[in-house]
Amino acid sequence: MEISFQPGPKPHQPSQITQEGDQGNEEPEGPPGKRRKLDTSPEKPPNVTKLLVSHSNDHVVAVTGEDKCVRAFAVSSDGKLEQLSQRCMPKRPCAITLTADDNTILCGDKFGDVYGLPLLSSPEADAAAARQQEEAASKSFVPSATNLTVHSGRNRKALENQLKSANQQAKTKEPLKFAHELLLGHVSMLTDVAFVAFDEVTSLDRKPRSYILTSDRDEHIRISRAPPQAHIIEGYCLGHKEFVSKLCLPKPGILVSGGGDDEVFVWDWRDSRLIDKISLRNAVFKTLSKRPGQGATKVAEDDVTIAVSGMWTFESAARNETRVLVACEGVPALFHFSTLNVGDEQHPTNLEVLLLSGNPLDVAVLEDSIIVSIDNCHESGSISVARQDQTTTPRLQAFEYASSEKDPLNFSWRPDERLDGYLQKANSQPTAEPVPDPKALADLLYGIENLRKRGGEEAESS
Amino acid sequence: MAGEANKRQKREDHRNAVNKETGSPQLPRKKLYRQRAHANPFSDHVLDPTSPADMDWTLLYPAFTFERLEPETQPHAKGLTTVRRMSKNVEIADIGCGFGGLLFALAPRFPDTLVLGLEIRTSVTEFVQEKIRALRHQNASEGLYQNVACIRANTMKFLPNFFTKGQLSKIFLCFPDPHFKARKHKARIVSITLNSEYAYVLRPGGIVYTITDVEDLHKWMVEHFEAHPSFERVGEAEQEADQCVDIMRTETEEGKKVERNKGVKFVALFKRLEDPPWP
Repeated sequence: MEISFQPGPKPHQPSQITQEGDQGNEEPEGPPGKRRKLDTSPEKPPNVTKLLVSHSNDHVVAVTGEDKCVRAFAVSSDGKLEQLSQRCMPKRPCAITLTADDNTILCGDKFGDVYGLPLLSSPEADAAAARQQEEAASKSFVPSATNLTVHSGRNRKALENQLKSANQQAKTKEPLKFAHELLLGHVSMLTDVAFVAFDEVTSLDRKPRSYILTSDRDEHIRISRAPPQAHIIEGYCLGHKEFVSKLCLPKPGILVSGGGDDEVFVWDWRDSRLIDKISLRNAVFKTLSKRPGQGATKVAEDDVTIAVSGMWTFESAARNETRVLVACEGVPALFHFSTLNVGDEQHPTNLEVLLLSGNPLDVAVLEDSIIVSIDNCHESGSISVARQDQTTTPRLQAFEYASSEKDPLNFSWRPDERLDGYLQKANSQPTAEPVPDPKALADLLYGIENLRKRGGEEAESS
Repeated sequence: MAGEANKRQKREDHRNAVNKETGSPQLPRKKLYRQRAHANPFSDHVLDPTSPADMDWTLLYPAFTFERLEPETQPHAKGLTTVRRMSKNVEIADIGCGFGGLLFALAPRFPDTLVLGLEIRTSVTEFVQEKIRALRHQNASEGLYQNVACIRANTMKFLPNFFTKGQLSKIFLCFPDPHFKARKHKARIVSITLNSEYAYVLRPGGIVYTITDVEDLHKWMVEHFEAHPSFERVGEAEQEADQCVDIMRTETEEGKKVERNKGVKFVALFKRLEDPPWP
């Protein structure tokens, strides 16, 4: 669950999400015997897994996981959300972003594909897309094999059966009845999508250029041109040894990527050049070993695994610098560094730590402060142990980045009281009823570490 | 099962004999390296390299290397050290090379070009590697087969880990797994999204060669390459004039099998176009 801050009502009241999307859940394509993850209680509203606010602040895009739906909302002047459209994707979306002009939603899915969807759907375009899809689907079924290609008796028999049941097989996929475009695809699970637009300055002139950056579970970061040339791959940033889960672009030419490795990588992505690696390991270990109530169960340094679950850019006007904030799954802190000296061997980048009262789930960046949403269901530093003091731990906490009057050069994060009024309302809400199943809740909040590959594949039959 | 154990023992004995460093390497026997024809391209493979820069080609093509003095790479090191470097880069890739029929036919025809076979199945890769070793030894006087090598790889996931942008001039996709079922189509080696990766590693003017005995797959490959803006299909006259087409038809292991079964072979070639200017 990601939370994006809006003054006023919380942007994702479950009651506002209608149920119609659940129809898209039935997938007729799978063979009958295959085990699939299906929601057993269809009357339960689906969970919001991704949330995004448009650059203009006029729209909100949400992804609901169980029904694979991309939902667009309009934000009214009094802060209410009105659902404009819901579009169910063929596979579960796991990363979304918007193009710089807010016209197109880029939606990456579990299958590795990235689709472009117009933010505001028009009925004409949707009808045209639906017609086109239906035409494609209505083509009569022809088996791909012939007697020339299958040679064994058993295969011939299978072919005969295929011909007999040809009509039932004709419809393999529910066509998508809305305008959409397949832009690019990885073979492995997509983990993040970013859109960058900037002016390329040459000796002669400036040229506006846009790119799509995508990362996947198989250690890749791909740089593609933006539509309409998304089929052209400009390069790759290769160097991660584990999955890449998050991309962050603090400045147009600088990319910070994080995932299952001990370090976050800093790239000059237009040259596919690695500039710097910033290790999180020590800071994560220190944070985990000094969290309160830890006493008996000491963490062994070897057991610490790092899974970057979020990265955000923070512009500090007061200090005139850009900072990158990093969250790791199940670690009650935010790690942050300045992009000022990345790659400078003389001035190694200093990683600082902002300790939190619980695991951070998401961060919203305001002008000179941040609001962190804290997991108040799980023990600080744990992704499985239920918390004792759920009611007293605030869900949202605000921090400002400022220096003290005594030492104006010493900047640090301190609680931001100016926002208390807004936060109080959200923090005083009771926990959702009915209380979700602990396992389901943990799966919903903490899925990043699951991207890690488990060995043993080499044991395949030879 | 006695039969099973016996078979395994035979395989091991054979491999040990072939692998022996002493004496002259012998040609491996195919029947002892058989492996089921399908592999799951989506499974987790822990395969090197992390990036093309990390790939050590000098071990695969020792005859195409030279030594030179370079500054040491360790920080603050000032001395020079001898480094082995490639005199050429791989330019021809046979993706899913199987038992290597095409590789061994291509190698003598393009003696100055490095040819690489990529195969996902371990035993089959091992067979090709042993055969290369034996052929290099047997043809040591003429220096043949020094330009061919084979590695285990899952190219659907890791092609850009091996090759830089525009490095290749030819890619062969010979008799790929047809994946008949519609829900397996994502596992096909040709798809509109994967074609972008072939376009990335191919230089403009480079060619993708495809051949299959499954008409439906042929149509699929043509449809998906023609729909990709970076490729155009090569006309029939140019296709038939290309010597590689003939080699692909007659020298691949599957090509021979289809010949025996009196099947039909469908060929299609696609040329990599120049990237258009930025909009």
